[in-house]
Amino acid sequence: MNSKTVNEKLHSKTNVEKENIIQAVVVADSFNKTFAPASHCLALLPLVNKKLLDYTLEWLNIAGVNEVIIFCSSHVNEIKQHLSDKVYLSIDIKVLVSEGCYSFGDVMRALDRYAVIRNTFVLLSVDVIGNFNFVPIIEKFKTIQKNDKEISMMTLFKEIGNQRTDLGNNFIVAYNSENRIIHYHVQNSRNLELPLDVVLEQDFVEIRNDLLNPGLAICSDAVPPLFSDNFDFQTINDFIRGMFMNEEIIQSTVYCEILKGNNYVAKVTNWPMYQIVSQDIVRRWTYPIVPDISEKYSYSKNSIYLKNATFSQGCRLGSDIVIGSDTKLKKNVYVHNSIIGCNCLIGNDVIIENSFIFDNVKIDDNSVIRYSVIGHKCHVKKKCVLEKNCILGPLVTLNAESKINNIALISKTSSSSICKLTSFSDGCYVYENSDSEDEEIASLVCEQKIHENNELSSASEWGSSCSVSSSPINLLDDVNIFYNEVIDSLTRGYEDKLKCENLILEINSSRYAYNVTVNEVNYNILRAILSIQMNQEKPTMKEILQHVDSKLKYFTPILRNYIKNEEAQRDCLPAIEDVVFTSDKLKTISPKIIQFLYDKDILSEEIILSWFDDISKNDVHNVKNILIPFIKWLNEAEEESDESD
Amino acid sequence: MPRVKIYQFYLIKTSILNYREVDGSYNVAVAVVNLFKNLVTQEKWNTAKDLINLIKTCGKLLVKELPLQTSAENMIRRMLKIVRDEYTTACHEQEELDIQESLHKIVTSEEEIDDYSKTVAELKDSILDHISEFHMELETSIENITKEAIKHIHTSEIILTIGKSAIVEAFLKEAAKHRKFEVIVCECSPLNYGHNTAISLSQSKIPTTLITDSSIFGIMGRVHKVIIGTHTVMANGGLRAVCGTHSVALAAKYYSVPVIVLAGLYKLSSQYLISHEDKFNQFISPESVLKYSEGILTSLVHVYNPTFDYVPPELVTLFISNAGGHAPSYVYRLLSEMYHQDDNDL
Repeated sequence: MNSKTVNEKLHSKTNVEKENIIQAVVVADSFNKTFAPASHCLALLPLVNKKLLDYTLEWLNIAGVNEVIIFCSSHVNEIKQHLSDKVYLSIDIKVLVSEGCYSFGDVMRALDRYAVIRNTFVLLSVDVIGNFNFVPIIEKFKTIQKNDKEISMMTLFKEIGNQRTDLGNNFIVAYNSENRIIHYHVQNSRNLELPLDVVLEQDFVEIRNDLLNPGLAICSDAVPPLFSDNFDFQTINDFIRGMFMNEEIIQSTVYCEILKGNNYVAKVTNWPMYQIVSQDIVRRWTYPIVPDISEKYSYSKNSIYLKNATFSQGCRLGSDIVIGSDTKLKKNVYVHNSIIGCNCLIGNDVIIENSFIFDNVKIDDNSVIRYSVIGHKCHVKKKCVLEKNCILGPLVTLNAESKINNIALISKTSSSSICKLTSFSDGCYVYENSDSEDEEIASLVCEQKIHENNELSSASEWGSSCSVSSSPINLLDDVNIFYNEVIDSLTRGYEDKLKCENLILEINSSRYAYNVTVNEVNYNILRAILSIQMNQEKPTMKEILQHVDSKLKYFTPILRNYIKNEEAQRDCLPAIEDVVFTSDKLKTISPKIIQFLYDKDILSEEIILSWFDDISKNDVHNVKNILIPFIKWLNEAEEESDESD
Repeated sequence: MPRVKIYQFYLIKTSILNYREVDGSYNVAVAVVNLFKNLVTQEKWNTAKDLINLIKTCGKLLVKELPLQTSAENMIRRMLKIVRDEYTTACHEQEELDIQESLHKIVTSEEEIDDYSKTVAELKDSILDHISEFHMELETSIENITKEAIKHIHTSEIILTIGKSAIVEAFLKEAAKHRKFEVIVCECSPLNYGHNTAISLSQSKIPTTLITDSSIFGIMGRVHKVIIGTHTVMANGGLRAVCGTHSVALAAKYYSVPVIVLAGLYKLSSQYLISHEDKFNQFISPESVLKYSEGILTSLVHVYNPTFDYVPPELVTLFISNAGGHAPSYVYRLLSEMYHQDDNDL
């Protein structure tokens, strides 16, 4: 029998069963640049030495899915090339291309135009890693569909317990006895708002916050047209929210299914998640999608996976290690909790900890790499030290004895137009993402693990506070909590002499956690800095002055970071009013404080003068007399500078 | 790659891929035999060499898809042996059948090793006949093993078994038709398949006790016989059996209780134990030992959840297969009868 007749047979077979086949739509693009310096194409980002796309397909291959539609909007040829030599027995792969898609919603609208969806289908993005079978879940979907014709979607959540705050599970879902979602709320604070009327309609409501939303759903064929009708839907979450807001108009319902037990699923959304999912794979939660089964690695104690790697004398391996094929480790190399790709060459006395090293990387003697990601074909020369959060893009060559920390580097050849280029060394540039929010995510890489051990207690505290958070007693509003957190970070930073950059990160993360506006941030930063208490009981005037002076000096980088324009300056001046002018002792040194800020170019003359005009009109705190000499000096200084001009 | 497409077609058609889980090795064996029957009938091949290559390529693909199922691999070897046998029979009608029969013959044999490339008339028919015959043997294997039941289980004995095995259940139920005896089932944590066995046995009116794995040693002193199934019989007569079997066998050794292993010949593998970690065991998801929702804890501890135990041959008293009872030391002989030495590497 030749292959042609076989294909015909295959087709006739699919025609018969067309109604019953399970389709899956894989969106091969995340529409952001979270992993941009290390890999420009999400689908081809390696995770534990295998491309994300391969994980998805391998999963769908064993998940009872028959037809996979891969939807790509960029890097189409690379993806097609990658797929060309893959063999998957149970699934039929189609690649659909639509270049003009800039969001998940666009993809769904394009899907509607292509009209390839015939029945209930599985919708997922390429960065979702899982291992379970869809067939029972789809059966469940169909039984619900018999009773409720309006069901459009069934979202899948993974139960992760409420101790894991590191997985980004910041949402609350409420569903009734039939698993229909009645409320879905992305949580920015610890408070929960639940509309009472929604709850009262139901006999039984379960409210949960111990779930992970991997962005994975079983959809009816009505979903793509719904996206077309509502052009403002950009993500699945928009869709779910839209369903509740326009319940009367849209007439669709959303159900959920909680995955328990061996059913693993997670989404690689950012670097911390990348790290967590890598560890889960290495620790075999994703079984049977683990390196020793699918990639023929050998697996041994302490979760060490090896495949044709060559070791020299004195090599030491810690735990949780994957080393790809044909990688050579020279003498006295130490590796712990790291993933090393194929064809790498690791020099003598190199230390690699908690890092991800992609394929074809060369690391020369005596280098140290911790908490870093090294893109493929990089060359790290002798005696380099890469500490925390370094990300090297593909083809970067790092000069000998470089010491870098918290930086993303790319080579010239892989640069694209969206990046501003700052030269770092020859042929090597600092990568800065145009989107500041993304940059922050990227810079958080790998820090997690350090905290994890120390913060065991605080994490469980969060869990317990969470379980009672449904009670309404919580007097502090978000801004106040934020202020307290800023005070805590700054006090600790000041006492332990931490780096201001790190404090800025902390402040930023609390800012996003409590959803505080920029104006409030500016105000609260200065207020917090000025409010940090001295240790002594009864300080003399001189000591107070010294204390304030050193505080301000120490925190100048933070102030510079936040107070950048005139508006920000106006925001922070009330802080001086509120802190300095309400304390008798500080009041007397207020000119010094303002002068300091002026000298450091944090406050400009015009702003100070107009502010002074404002407060002197209605002098609540009696500060006019104290400030007058300074204002006079300022006016003179301005005139002088005007004259010299 | 049209070739691969063809194999895909066969694999999908025989729905072998549904057997990705560990249990059901009999069904896998039957499905694999059916698969190769179709392959021999429908594919175009001229010589035995072609066919051997065809089976090997398809077999490799299959082994990759079903890494847990050693019986699939065994059946592929068996099919190759059938092809080789039929070819040799057809070529050397007059000569003696087995060249490797004695050491003397191997040494004195001056004949070149045959590369199976001669065209032989009616090879296809004879191979298909042989496969059908083998298929029959496979189908009657459970029946043949259960026939032995009354020879081994006597009235008012206490039998201990572990986990879930279709053949053990059938064996005990057959014996229960004629005699009264008691069964103790170890639950086989963490997957607890023993629970299913206990339910099934008690439904057939056999007095059954379910015990935890920790009480195996304590109860062994009262047991007359241990009857267990296995996933694979290794080439040295050792077992690759469900996790917990080793402790049962050791306890039985201490109390000198005979250990009887029920295994169809399709479970006989040509593999030896090289290392406990590599290629022998399957470490499944830690979920059933420690829940993922336990949170932070999961990243701080290493959890191992192996599926199999290796039981060394000296702890096994007797194998009962469809060809009768054998001592573990006789397994090597069965191996050389069933598989061809050239097929040890697929």
